[in-house]
Amino acid sequence: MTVERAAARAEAALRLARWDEAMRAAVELIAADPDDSTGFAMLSRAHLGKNEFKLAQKAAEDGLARTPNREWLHRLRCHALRLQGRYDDAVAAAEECVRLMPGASESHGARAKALAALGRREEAMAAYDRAIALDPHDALLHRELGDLLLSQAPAEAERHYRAALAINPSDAVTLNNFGASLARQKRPDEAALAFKSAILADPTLRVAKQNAHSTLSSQLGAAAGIGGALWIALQAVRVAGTVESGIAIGAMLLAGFAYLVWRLVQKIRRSERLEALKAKDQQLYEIFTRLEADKKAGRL
Amino acid sequence: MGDAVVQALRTALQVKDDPELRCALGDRLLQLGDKEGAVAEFDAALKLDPTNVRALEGLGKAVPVSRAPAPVASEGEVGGKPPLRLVTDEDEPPVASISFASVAGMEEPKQRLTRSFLLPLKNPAMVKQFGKAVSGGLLLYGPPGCGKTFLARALAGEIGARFINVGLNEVLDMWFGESERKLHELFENARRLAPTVLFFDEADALGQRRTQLRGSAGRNLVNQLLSELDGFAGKNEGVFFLAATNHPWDVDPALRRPGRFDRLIFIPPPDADARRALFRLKLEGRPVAAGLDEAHLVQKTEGFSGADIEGVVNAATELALEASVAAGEVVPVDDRLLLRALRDARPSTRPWFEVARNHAVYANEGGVYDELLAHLRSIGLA
Repeated sequence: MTVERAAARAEAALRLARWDEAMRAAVELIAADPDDSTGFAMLSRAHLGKNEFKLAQKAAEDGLARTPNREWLHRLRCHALRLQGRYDDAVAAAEECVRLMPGASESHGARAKALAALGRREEAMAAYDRAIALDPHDALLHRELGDLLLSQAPAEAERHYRAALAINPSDAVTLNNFGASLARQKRPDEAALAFKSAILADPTLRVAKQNAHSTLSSQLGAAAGIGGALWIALQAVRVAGTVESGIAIGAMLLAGFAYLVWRLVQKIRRSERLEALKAKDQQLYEIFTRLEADKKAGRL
Repeated sequence: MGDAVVQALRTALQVKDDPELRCALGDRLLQLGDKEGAVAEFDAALKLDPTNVRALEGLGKAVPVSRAPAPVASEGEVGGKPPLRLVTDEDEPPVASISFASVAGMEEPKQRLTRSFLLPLKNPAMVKQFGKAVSGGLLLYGPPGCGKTFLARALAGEIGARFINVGLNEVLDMWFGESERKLHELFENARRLAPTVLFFDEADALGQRRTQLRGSAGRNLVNQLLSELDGFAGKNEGVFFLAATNHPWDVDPALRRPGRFDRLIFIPPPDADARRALFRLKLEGRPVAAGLDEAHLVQKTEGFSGADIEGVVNAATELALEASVAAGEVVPVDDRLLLRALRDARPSTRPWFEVARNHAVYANEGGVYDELLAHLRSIGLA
């Protein structure tokens, strides 16, 4: 196998998330030319894909031992360190990336992510702004900046999620986080639609399903707690046996009865809202009923 | 090899299989001119530690790799462009020699394949009378190691067609460079050799959703595949398309449109008959005690893939070997050893079903995963 073919195979396997195949091709590349760091960079990427962060760090460092000024390897090392929770070291590695390639959006993006992990929010935002200025078409940068803004400025976050979705409309994580930004702005109808889109884009994304369920549940009203109402009524009857005043007993029984009626009304209203949801958005209704079943089965 | 250092290293390796020792042995063998032996040792070291630089360097010394780009042109180039390379007679894939009779159990998938693929092919006139076209391909999906490729090969045997398997290796080689030309060449060969079954293993690698692909290489490949399937680049008469994937949800939806891979068939883990046949096949040629309780083994391996069953048989064989060495005579594989091996084994298909469930329950657009959903219900997952 030629060096070029091994490199092309490794790259293709990495893009297709075939990590083991990528590792094999990267190892062949290293065997073909141990002084070239490309194979080590690809090996590091494959380890990152398999969540083997220490091995990813080691591969990046092995590559850096051969070519100490390669920004790509510093960036991979930065990601591997951050994912191991070594945020200070990750920031230092990212700063080396920026020093080596100040015009690369990826360097600033890596630095921004490491700074955000370290809690240096203002610096992280500035780094993201710089990265986005260098490459406004990188959806991931917009999403990450949105994530950073979400808790304190949900409207700003929404703007960045929209920018990310304009570039990559089917990214499930962005759709979910976009929904979260809408929910924070008290726009539950729109949020539910965003969560639905996230679920359809990636049905394995558990957080989107949890978000959809909780948003729809609060819109529809909590399920009627008939059991709870009966418990209160029974408590009232039990207390009635120990209290002498007939008025107190009567008031307690009445309170229990009123609570029971209130819960029944809630249940009826919930059924009506569910019917309205079914008429308005059959797909969302079906997703909700499946989410309810999964919740009951402990799968959500 | 009588070298004392080699002997000493081999003895040490019997005590502890260590990558550094393997590298030392590889270096020594290289010094002695035994390149083949050295490659084997460096290879073994890399299996233990894939990032071992000493092993990689050793392998580089033992097998010098060409730095020249792969030759793309061949003799007889015309007008600067390489001609389509046609397979020679020696290269020609043989007509598939197995048929459905070679596949034990799996009656339901076989019936489905017969209904939706074989019958229309064998009765084209009747199919046309009902206003249906005799075209389109099948996409087999299911957990890994459950016989999708074997079934596809058997289907080719039923048709009496040649079987061309396009696996991940071929796909990875197509990704860069003249990918469109390579894919067109593949289809042209299949057309020339018709009747042919063109089988795309790991179809999601070749036809991944274009929305998931960054960069143009993968997108061009998907576009070219669509064009070839539609027959724009050449008539597809006598070429049947089959594909298999563990991730049907990652396949570009355009590939599932009519005339392309428009029928999805779920291939579940081997059923009882298939598991019984697999146990017999895997135990063949090994010392086995008489009167194995096959029914019990089959019952205990519900949900196991073919690869899982092979793992169980291998583990039981190792136990028998260990017992044989201790006893000084052959101890055959028996129920007790197989059940002991089974104690630590779990069906590897379960994680696949956990993921597949999400798609079948939440994204079953147009009932595309109905078969899977029915299976999930039968195993209590939906």
